[in-house]
Amino acid sequence: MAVDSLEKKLDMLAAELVLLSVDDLPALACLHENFLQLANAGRQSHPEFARICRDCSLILEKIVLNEITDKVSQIEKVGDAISVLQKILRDNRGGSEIEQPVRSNITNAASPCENNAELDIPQDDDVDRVENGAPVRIAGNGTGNATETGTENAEDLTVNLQNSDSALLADFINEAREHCAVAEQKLMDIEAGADIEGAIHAIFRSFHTIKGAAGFLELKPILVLAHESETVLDLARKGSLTISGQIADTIFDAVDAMRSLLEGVETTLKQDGYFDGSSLTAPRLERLRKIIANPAQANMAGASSRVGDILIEMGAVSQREIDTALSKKDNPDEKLGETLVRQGLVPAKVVAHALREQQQTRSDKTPAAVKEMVKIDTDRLDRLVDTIGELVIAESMVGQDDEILNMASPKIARNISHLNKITRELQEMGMATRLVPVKPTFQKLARAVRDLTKKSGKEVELAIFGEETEVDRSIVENIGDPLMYMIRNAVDHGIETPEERVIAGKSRTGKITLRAYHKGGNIFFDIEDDGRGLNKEKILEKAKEKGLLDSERELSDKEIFGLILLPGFSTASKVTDLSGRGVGMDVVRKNVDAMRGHLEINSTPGKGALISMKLPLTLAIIDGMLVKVENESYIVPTLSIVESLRLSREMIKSVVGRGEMVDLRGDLLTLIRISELFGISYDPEDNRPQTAVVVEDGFRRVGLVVDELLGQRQTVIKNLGRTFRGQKWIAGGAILSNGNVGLILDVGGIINLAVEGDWRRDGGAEMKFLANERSRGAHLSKVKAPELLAQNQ
Amino acid sequence: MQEKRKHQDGGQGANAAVAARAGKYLTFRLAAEEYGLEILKVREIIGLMDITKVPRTPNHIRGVINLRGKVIPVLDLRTKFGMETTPDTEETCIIVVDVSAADNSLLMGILVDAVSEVLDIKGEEIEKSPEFGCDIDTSFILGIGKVKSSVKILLDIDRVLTSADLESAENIARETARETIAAGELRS
Repeated sequence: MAVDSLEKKLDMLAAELVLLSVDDLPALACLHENFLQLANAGRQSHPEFARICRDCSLILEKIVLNEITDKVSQIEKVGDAISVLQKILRDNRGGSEIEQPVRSNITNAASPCENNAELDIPQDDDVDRVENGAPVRIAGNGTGNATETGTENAEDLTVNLQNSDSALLADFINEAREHCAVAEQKLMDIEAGADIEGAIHAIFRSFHTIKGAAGFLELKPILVLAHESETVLDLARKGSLTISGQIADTIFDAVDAMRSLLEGVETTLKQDGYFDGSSLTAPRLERLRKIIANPAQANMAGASSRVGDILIEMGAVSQREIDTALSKKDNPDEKLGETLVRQGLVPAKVVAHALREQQQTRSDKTPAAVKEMVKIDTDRLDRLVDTIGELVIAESMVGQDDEILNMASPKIARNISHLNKITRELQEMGMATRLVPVKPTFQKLARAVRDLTKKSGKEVELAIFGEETEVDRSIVENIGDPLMYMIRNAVDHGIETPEERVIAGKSRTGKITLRAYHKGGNIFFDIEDDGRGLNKEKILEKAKEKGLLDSERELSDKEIFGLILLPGFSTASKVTDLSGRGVGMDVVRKNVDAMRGHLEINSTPGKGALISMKLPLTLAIIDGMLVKVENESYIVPTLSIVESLRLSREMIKSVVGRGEMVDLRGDLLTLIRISELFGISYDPEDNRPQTAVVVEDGFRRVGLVVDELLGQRQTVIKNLGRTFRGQKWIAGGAILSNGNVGLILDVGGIINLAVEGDWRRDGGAEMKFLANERSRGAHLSKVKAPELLAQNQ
Repeated sequence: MQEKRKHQDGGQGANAAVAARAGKYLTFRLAAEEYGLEILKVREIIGLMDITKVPRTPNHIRGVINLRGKVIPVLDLRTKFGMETTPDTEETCIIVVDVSAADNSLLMGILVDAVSEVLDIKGEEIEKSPEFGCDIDTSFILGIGKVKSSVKILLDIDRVLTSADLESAENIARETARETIAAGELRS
């Protein structure tokens, strides 16, 4: 920044400072921000100028955070500093001679405000040199003693949310959540070792933005937490701290706490009351401040080896030369570049070049190609997609109209085909707006694995494939919980402890593979682990013990693994904090069912398990078979259709008290007449051939008797609303090609309806049916189906 | 009189409450009577279209229609009010109303014989709903509008539609289902 503009900015600051009241938090925060900007702007050309600016901002920060009692005199100091700064700029355009007394005065003021004076270490490295020794390091005395008593216990971390601007706060909460997500992602990048510098900057910026906004909105706990986290990151940014292990944990923890705080504020906002964030904030603050007080040692080496890296890349030196140079360093404070030049290994010019490059990569903050994004209300988006759907229907109604088709005018035909093309394109675009990548969901899982691993003392490596796979927004919203549950299961029950693994002849580190991919119009999520696998005997034993299984029939592997999806089934012998709260996989199944998905479990004992989740591409579109019953038509989801068969009257056997059945390759299949079930009048004497659509809902298999199959349709599924909430046999409505509403049948609901004589709709019903089915199956295997029928006749 | 009023509206506020109901009403015909709906509740009026019957629902729920991509239920007000059903005519139409239910609002179509006009009814033209005795629930009537010697029954559509339909649709459906099955068993 040119000196002129610095001067101008400084004059503005001076004017603001004169008008400043010490209680005006937003203005203080603004000033603080401005000083930081000035410090950044002047960093290159006027190091001392920048230093003073930074100290001023520190003082202001302390005032904002209420860590200083004598605010007025501190503000006066800032005023003095401004005049010094002005003088620096006026006097010389290079910035060499500084009035020593004021300089140290400012530093004094800034340093004792910190809870621990050692915070100055990272900043003092070259200041000390400028000041020719005698480092100005003041322990918490003088102006600072008031601070000593003001420990965090005394900090008032309650927020008054009465009469607050809820719209503004809501915006802030949303934004802050995004920042949290960014911070978390970048933290993981750091742990993975990718673009550490950039990531630190990004996290710093996230916290900084949150801090700024929180200050403005007077959200004290968030402000303090963001501030301390920012300070830690600032240390990392300056290279005096390496983010790894404990420190990374602390920051992760701070991000989590931040989220909880945001949530707390959000909840409180609705009730218009006070929010006390101290319980959430205090422990994190303590840990963060501990780090700030004691930044890890030997970190300067990390920063200088970077120069070394660049030099190696430039071909100026070899790794070995760098190593020797590093070992020969007489003075630990000496920079690597200096050592190299002194030893005559590299010309000074090359080192300077490398340093410049290093500077450049540091300041290269923004990623190259950021797509411009607009936030849109999802309701609005849904409405847009709805309207496009209607347009498509209207278009086809016009296009297929007999009168228009009979006109045989090439002009109209051309226009209509043009219209058709546009609507199709529009439809595709509309659908695309609903698609989002699964990446954020997977990242959450990666984070979960990281935490779980630490907690459980196991070593787990998570491999993620296909995080760019795009799925419907509605699926992404619903997939998180089931995936998280399964991942927890895999870590907690699947993967063994390192010792066990070694004994079993596997590598210490367990591996969990998470895959997302498209296949045949469906999206698949696979979770594979190389742990101990599922124990068939244990599952069977448990199932019998819980009364889920009362037959002695042999079950196939798939059926056995399917048992763990039943409600109330959990094989974990001990309940841990991580998973196995006794809820079991049935929660996962319920979630997946709700998305019209399907779960399949495969496992080899000792080798691991693979859970595959098959989901439709979108919840908005259903692939269904249009069937006709008398004058009504319904849609049966293709996912639940097994096959369909032509029925003739001879095939149908009536079993007393059990309704109608059909012998399907030796198995008895219960028939459900849709017309009867739905009270549509029909003639029982009618001899028209009918069709049975064989459907299953995971466990039960029945035949739905319909008049005719009209063909497969892809239809947009619509919610019927709360009016029909009780109609469990209808999954929803679909807009048919003629614009009318078609009803989508819910196979599970229909079976419940038809099978249960007592109309119970509780969870136990399904189990009871299953038990019946099983015992009947056992019975049937002994007595062949035809014989049974013969007996009945 | 005094007592009745107390029962109805809680004493003194009665007149004020009735007066506050002054405003624009969409009037429609159902059998021989004229009814009124607060205009702010009315979203739109559409001609009769194909209504998809939803099985195992109470009789007065005609089914569902596709309102520009939104599926909304249609209620037959005649059946709901226990009048005899007549075949639909040219004039039969669906009034789409915004019903505010407990937590959110929902769109619902009501099938009426004919839509008449939009009337501006003044406060003094509205009388509170009559009392027929303790057994008869008139809570779904906002009041009676007397405009130029004709009488309009002003409906509180929220109450008409939510009182029984939305919550008890499930129960009624169960009843019908049980009957159907019973009939089926008899036959076999």
